[in-house]
Amino acid sequence: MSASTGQYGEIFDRGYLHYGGPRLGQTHAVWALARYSMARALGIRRPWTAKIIPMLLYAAVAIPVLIAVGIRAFFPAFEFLDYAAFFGAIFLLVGIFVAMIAPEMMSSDRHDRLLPLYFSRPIGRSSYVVAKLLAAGLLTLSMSVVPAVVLWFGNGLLADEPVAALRDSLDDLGRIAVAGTMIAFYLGAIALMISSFTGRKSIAVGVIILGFVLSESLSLAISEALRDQPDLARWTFAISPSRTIAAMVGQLFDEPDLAADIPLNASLGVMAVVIAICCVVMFAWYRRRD
Amino acid sequence: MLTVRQFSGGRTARLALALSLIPALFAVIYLVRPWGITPNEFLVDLFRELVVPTLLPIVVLLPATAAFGNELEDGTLPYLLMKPVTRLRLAFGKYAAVLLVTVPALLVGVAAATLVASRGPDAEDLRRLFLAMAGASAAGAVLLGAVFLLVSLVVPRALLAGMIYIFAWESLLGRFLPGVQAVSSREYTLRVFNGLWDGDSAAASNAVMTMVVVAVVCLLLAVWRLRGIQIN
Amino acid sequence: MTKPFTQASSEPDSDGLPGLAPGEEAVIALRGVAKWYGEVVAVSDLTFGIGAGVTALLGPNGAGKSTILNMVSGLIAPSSGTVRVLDRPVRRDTMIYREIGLAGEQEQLYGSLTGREFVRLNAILQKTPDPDGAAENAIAIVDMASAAGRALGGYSKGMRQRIKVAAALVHDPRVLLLDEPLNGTDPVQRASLIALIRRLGNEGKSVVVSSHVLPEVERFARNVLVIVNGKLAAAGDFRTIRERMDERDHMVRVRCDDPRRLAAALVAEPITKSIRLSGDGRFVAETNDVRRFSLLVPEVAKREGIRLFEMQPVDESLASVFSYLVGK
Repeated sequence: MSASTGQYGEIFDRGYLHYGGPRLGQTHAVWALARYSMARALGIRRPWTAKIIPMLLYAAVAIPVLIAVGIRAFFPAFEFLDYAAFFGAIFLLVGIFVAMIAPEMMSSDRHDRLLPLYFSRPIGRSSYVVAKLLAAGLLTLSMSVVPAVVLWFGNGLLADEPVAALRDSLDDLGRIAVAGTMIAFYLGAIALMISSFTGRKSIAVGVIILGFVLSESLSLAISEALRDQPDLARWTFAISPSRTIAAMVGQLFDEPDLAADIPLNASLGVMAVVIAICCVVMFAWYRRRD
Repeated sequence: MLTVRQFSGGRTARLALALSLIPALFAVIYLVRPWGITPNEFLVDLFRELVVPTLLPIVVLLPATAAFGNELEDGTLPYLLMKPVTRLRLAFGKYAAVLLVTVPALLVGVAAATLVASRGPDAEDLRRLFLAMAGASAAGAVLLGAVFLLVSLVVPRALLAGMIYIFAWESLLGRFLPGVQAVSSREYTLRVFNGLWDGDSAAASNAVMTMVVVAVVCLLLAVWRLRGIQIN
Repeated sequence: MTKPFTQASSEPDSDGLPGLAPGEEAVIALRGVAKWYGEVVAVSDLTFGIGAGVTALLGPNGAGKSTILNMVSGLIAPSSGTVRVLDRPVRRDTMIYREIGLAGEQEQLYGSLTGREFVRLNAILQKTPDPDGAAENAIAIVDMASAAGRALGGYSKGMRQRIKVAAALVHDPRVLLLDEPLNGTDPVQRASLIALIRRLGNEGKSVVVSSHVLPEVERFARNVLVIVNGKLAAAGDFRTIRERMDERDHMVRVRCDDPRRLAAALVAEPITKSIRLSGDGRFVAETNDVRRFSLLVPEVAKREGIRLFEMQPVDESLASVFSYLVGK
């Protein structure tokens, strides 16, 4: 006690209050950050200019689906858009979508120097990464799974016996869920990892999209070069997200052209490994940063 | 002047150069195991399918949207605006800086790819092909540099908008609607390339003229936009 | 609202603008300036002049100080009205920037440049004849010579403030606009910046310094413009303004259903000094004891059977803003 020194010192009780509310814990903090990240990426509570591009992308993915359901309504025999074609075609849109949301989630925090603020709060380094992964993955589901489910529902309802048709095609729904979820988390993880390396959103956007496009050309060129070793050449798909996704979709929905003889386990395995690598890289990266 | 400093040695310049060297990487793959086509055919394929539709626009897009975009994002634009420099000179200065970064990078990239590929089997004289590719790249940069500079002054998230233009507009719509080709930068870049490559200099110079005119119009619009810009 | 009162409001001056001493020429002149963003009005009804010497732009945060400085700098266009600097319209002619230097509020600088490169760059863009000399000079003026070789990205807040001031005065402009330049500086830097501002003012430059702390401003500026809610609330010598504030402290506005009769009854009371009827059911009374007066009014009203609707000190917002600025 300072009384022994004989000097005057006093602390006044000015009525500061401790936080008395419930402590919601780690899970809640992660979920809050994930929710906030999703809202920010979509431009919610931000000026309308931040909403245009997300809206455009949603429109771009919704319109073909609605057209397909519409055509189905009038010409039942005519299949304008099957699931394989849908998942094959949305790679570009989902790619642009993750290239939009991931830099918004990762690079902005670096550009605005928010990381120290987060890390001095209950959000730890790894739960930060988990929250962002969750946010990117869940948000991307709205581009990959949701439209496909709408398509499935539309197809079912327009059949002669809707309930039976829906029940019969339940396995399609399962495939849609697998394909859409894998695509969302696979592309989301890659985009997040790239974005976490730079504070400039523009650079992250560029590198992500270019990476998706170039990796396809690169893997095709390498497979071209390995033409006399077909076993090896086949595996070049692993370099390219678009080829990996095509292979998975091809096997799931029975399109040999897309599948290109790559077993389902191989493409799913590659995606899982890539997601794991991205997570490990991000965990390591954010652990090191002060 | 400022922008050159900002770019040179900066991350954007290095990124542009790195991207420009990607064709050389493909050339190396080709060289290790040539898949039955001549270096000539390989380079033409590479240029038509990879450089013109994808690489060239992105190499230009990055610095061109960064030129004003980064200043807007960081709030440093007032330092440039509050100077006794006309908006015309400001826009052209930024534009010159963009070209100074992108054109050499593209030329180095094309040259590197040509050099590597020239060691492949049955190489012919590749000089004319190189000149055609170099000329088309430069013309493409002149056009797209001005377009993207304008876009970055008008649209927020200019880079994303540019990407969507490159991939959605040019590659998807261009495939389905032939009319889109008339307003496609890729189409004009390819016309320059084909003109130079086939020795049809009239076709090439026609395309170049159109591109220059569009570039100038874009720059003037950018100047007009700079005059009215409001910085908060 | 009453007209904004100024030191020189009784006598006409050459430019006829509030804020200028009689016969003083306006270096910066705003006439009928307003700025709104959609539905939100940032500033309105601004008419004033700024002459040579140091002028402080005072107001609480969000009052519109930065909006005014940005309009004077030509970075934003007023929604209506005109802004002229040295009798030339800004935003029309970029050559005016040879005579304007702004150290704005934005935090970001070109992070990869060093302090010296940054100041030198401003000198070059200003087409200063000897950019290196001018840069060294400006850096020395703000005491940044020792840190000028380091990258701006690593500067502390106080260093950024000073390097921005150096960049703003590198071309020796006649008009210097400093947006809260003392924010984030330590006491030593603050003292030297204040000395610098005073010196520039004494050299005959027009230095406009925005601030929300009056005691700080008293050390370099006597001439102030007080902005409240986007409007000019007071202008002129701040001691005079203060005296008039004290006077205004004794004004009370009353609204009732029979102002004439209540006024007559109140005039009879000794603590009422004067009463001015304004016709719309209101009058303004001057008293030497507001507290006793405010007890007296309801008493008198009750006695006379008059319904009292409202009673408040005149222009409470200005009074509270002023006491906030003075740091009471």
